Amino acid sequence: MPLKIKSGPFKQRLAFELNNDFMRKAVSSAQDGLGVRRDIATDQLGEWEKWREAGQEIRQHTVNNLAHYLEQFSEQATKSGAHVFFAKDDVEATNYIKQIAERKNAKKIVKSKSMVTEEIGLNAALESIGCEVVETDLGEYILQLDDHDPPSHVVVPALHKKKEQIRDVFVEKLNYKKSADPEELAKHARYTLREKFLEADLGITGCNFGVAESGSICLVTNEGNARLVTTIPKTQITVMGMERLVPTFEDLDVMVSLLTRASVGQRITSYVTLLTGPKKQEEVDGPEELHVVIVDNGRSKILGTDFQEILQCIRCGACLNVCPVYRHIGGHAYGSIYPGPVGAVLTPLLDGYEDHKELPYASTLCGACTDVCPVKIPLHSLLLKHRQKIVETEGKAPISERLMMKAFGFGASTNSVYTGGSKMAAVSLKILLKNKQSISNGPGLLKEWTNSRDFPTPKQSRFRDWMKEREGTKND
Amino acid sequence: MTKLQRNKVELPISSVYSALETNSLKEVFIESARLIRADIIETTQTNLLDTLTELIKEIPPEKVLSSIERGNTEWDAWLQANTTTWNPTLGSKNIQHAEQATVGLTYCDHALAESGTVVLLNENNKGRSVSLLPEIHVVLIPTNSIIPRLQKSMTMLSERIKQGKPIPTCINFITGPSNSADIESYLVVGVHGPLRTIYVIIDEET
Repeated sequence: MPLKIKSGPFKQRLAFELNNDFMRKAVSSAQDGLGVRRDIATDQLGEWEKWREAGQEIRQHTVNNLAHYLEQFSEQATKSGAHVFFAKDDVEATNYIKQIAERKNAKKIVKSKSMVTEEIGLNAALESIGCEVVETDLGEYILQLDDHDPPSHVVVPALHKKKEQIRDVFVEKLNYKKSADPEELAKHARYTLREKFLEADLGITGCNFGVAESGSICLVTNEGNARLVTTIPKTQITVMGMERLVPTFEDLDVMVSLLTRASVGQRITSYVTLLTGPKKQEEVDGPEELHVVIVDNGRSKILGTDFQEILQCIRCGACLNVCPVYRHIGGHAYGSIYPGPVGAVLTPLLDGYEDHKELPYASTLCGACTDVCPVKIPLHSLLLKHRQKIVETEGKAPISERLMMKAFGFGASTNSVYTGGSKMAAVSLKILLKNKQSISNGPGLLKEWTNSRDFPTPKQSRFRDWMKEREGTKND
Repeated sequence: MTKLQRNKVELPISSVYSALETNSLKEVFIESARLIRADIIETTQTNLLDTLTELIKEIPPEKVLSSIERGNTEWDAWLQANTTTWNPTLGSKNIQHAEQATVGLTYCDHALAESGTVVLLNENNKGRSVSLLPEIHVVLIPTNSIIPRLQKSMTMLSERIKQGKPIPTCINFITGPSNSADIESYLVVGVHGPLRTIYVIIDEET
């Protein structure tokens, strides 16, 4: 499944990313910068907590009545002249889109940023039938040029890249001759991509929100590329995750107000575009044909489970921007196009525990993600639920952990075993003492700890014995 | 379709309303517009054409694309002399004009004080490209078209839907020039859309 971006064991990915000093510095400075901007923007709006409650209600209500709103959305969109297609999985979605491309004889395709198209592996599917697919969001364009380097953040996909690396990619792939100055790089991308827009036969976008009462598509962007994708090509395809609806325009106000502030600390982005149906006959620009592909791909399986609240997500990335684990390991270590706390909850649900069972453990459970989520998804509780499920029903806890838990269960089962065991622990740990101060190279499970820090010296006597002795002295 | 039961949360009130207790909509709008790097020119109805003539004096008419229809002879004469008009009968040629234009001139339907946003309803052939393809977007904003925030625009759309009226195929909420922070979080102003946005705010006269 294209959701997966890296192979190899989780620990190996971690070790690799932890040694990437530039990435770690880039992530922490982006987290700090976005955090300050988010706080300013939310304070400026006032009553942020009430806005979050309103957002939570809208999204919960929509997800609770998803079938109703999907029906209304598709009815209204059809009435406006759009073609609506429900795809149960990635194969159905990509096959439908490939058919349109073939029918339209579309060879040149421009795309604006969309996580769900990454999830269904759309680019590869279209390339397999001979289409040229160009990502036009600056970050996505850079990654595509750099031999399809995967995104590391849901909003800022090329966060892990240095400007010098980007210049090298431009030099190699675009015959670029200027400096690594972001202004010059962006300008070069502007002129290169303008050509692509003008010659494109087909435009593909994602969808921030679908408005059920009108069948409209709402795109929230800054660069203007999504507007170009929906203005110039004759055919437009919008791919939407099935949960991305709001009932009315009044609800859309709340969601857009929350999204732009939580995501990038803007009162509103440069462009909020509402598209309803294809262009009218008398209109000059805009697509003649509009298709909306609504993708399930595992989402409906989440409905009605303990994890339903994850479907409230509006992909703002705020949880990534506060997560201490994401800060250190970056996006790629998660091995999924959805990284960070939201990715750790969502990825195993969409793609199974088998390849992603470590993700719910990639969290300190500090709850910063839950506190910052604009639609109040209890992210850290959902991570705990995953852990519970992995251990209890899936039986997928690591072997060492299972053995340890068994041993602890035995050790704590009777008083005498516990007393003897804990006395022995102090003695046996002493063997490992390097310099009588601390243990820096422990065996087995202890190694997980000592890999990154020393284990403190065990005390000479147990607390119980010390207490007993002290009580004794006092009584004297 | 059946109406669903819903326990709506009472909508919170944006702080823009407290700002509006002491400042006019225009003042709040200008303050927000400065934050998002829009250039601001203030003028009056009487001086508008002079202001615009001055603004585009170095740009030849074929490089100034406009999609404004005011049904006013003075305006029409000015547009004829100084701009190229978005002309639906020319079909896709309009897009080429837009692509080669330096300035795209539009008239906003309303504007939002809280965020410094202009709202363009692309109906009646105004053209999506005019505010998008040229390097500079000049948008005319009558003071009386400024409203507090997004909420009111959305309510107006909801009302249209409830009355069974169609809404425009494309509505753009535009806030300053295009930008990106995709390279090392450094803010680049001007990416795929206009590199510069100029707000011309027109005071009505009493």
